Amino acid sequence: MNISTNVLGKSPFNFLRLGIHGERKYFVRPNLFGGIAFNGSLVALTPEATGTFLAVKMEENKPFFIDPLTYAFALSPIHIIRPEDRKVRKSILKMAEFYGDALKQIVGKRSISPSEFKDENITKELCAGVLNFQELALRESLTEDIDYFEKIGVDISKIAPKPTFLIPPYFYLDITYWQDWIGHNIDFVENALRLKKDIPVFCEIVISREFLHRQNELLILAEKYAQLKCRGFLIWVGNFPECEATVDEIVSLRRFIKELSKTGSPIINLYGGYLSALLSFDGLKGFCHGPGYGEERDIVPVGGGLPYPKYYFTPLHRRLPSELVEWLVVGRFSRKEEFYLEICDCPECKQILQNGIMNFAQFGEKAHMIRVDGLPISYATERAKEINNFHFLYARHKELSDVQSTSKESLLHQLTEAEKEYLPELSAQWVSHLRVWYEALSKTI
Amino acid sequence: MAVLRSETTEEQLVEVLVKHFSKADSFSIYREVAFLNKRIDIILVNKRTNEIWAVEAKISWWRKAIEQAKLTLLGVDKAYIALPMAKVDGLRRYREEIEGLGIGFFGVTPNSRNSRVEEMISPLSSCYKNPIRESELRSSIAHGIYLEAIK
Repeated sequence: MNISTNVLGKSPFNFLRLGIHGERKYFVRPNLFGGIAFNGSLVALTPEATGTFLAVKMEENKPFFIDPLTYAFALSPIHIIRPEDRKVRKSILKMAEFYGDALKQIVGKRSISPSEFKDENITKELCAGVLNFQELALRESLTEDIDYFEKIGVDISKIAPKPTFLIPPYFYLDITYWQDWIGHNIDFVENALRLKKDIPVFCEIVISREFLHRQNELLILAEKYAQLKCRGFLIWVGNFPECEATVDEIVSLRRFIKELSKTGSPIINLYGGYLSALLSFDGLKGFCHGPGYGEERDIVPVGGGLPYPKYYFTPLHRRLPSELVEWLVVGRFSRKEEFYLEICDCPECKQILQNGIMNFAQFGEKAHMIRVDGLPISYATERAKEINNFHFLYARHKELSDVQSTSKESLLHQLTEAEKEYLPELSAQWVSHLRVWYEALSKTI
Repeated sequence: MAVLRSETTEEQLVEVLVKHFSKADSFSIYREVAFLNKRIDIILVNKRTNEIWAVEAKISWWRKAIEQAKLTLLGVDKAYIALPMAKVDGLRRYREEIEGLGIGFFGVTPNSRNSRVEEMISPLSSCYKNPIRESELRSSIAHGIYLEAIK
């Protein structure tokens, strides 16, 4: 089976990440995204809810995968402990239970060290536990509700969710200690391949941003990973917001992708945005993001955290404070049709602006309250979050269609045109990434 | 010559401004009024015309002051930035941008005996005003979503 063409469809392909169950409402329009990404923490904590969501709510048979987040067990316990009661987060404990004794015994007490994997049995046990978790956790959760499914006339064996690919254990590679971990990360993949599951194995590579400044080390990594017989790669550069990337960093990332893509296996960026879509011209198959955010992430905190809603401003391919867009819109346009032509004509924007351009204010709808010290504070309403996120999903879908059907030269030209158009009003802070992307993507590598 | 004391704070700057506008008895004055996702330092409501003016006071940080004042134009008739007179040198660099946006500028000299507020750039009526935002701001005032009212 060729994963890249048969299952994941055209490049660039996007996986929408379900961060919390409260976000399930954004998955009701399955034509807006390619597949679904889950974090192991969510699956471990709520296997029944996640399994039922996939089996019953997702009408289409969407590709999906579960990131097992094994790197969390090599972090200082402080990163997986709840500050309020100093106890290990439940989701991490649950993952440890699935993954086996080696992690169960140390979780919350200390981090696991590379030397512990010199014992081949520990490596094998962890591999089996991590792969079984991804393969079976959701499927088995459904059997607990067997009465319910029988009652509604559904055959569980037909709807049981099966991940599109499995991810062996992996640990974070930082620029100082990567050599301690790299051999083990490779062992995990080879072990997983030996288990001969009927689901393809993808290798996850998580590196610190500093690697993008160290060409030699980055190419050594690419060479080592490219020798593996896995069926695909997931990459994650910690703390790498695409809009803040430098030309050199993007060029390094392009070279890394290009090296890995020589294997012919699909490469997916775990946290990415429009730059990742453009990197499809260098061999990136796809990328993952949340509904309206989650286009970047550092390795800590592990999972969790919801940002302030912002409006995805398609001409700049980035989120902006909705008030800033409102200021721009009110100053520029008197008719909604002008907005549709220049900014966005998605169904969400049309719905909001149907009674006039001034209604753009709804994207930045706020509620206010008075703090105990007497100062007023404002927060975004649930509705504002929802309309921003739905607009984002439409905008992202359109971006991907555009990248699929437009030449690289035209897309790069659009970046420079947008820069010229918006720099005078919005300042370099919000626009300069377009110049950086253009320069980095124009270079021959 | 009035000298800005090194310990001058934004709070002191606001006090000087409030005192200045209180003298005329033309305005209802509100401090720290909730608007968008922030608070406007001073809101002045003209008792006769019902026009709303906003003043953003900053000790320095020209860029931040401009960005904040720019967004307040969504809800008010006129917006000002106020900075200590001692920092007014920076105005040369930003004058064109401030004038282009239609924002006004106050230079403030805080002094225990003789504080002064000088309008160095006159604002234009906001061409960014959104009636929905104006109504939200008036509602915040009506419902007491502010720190203090000085009538």
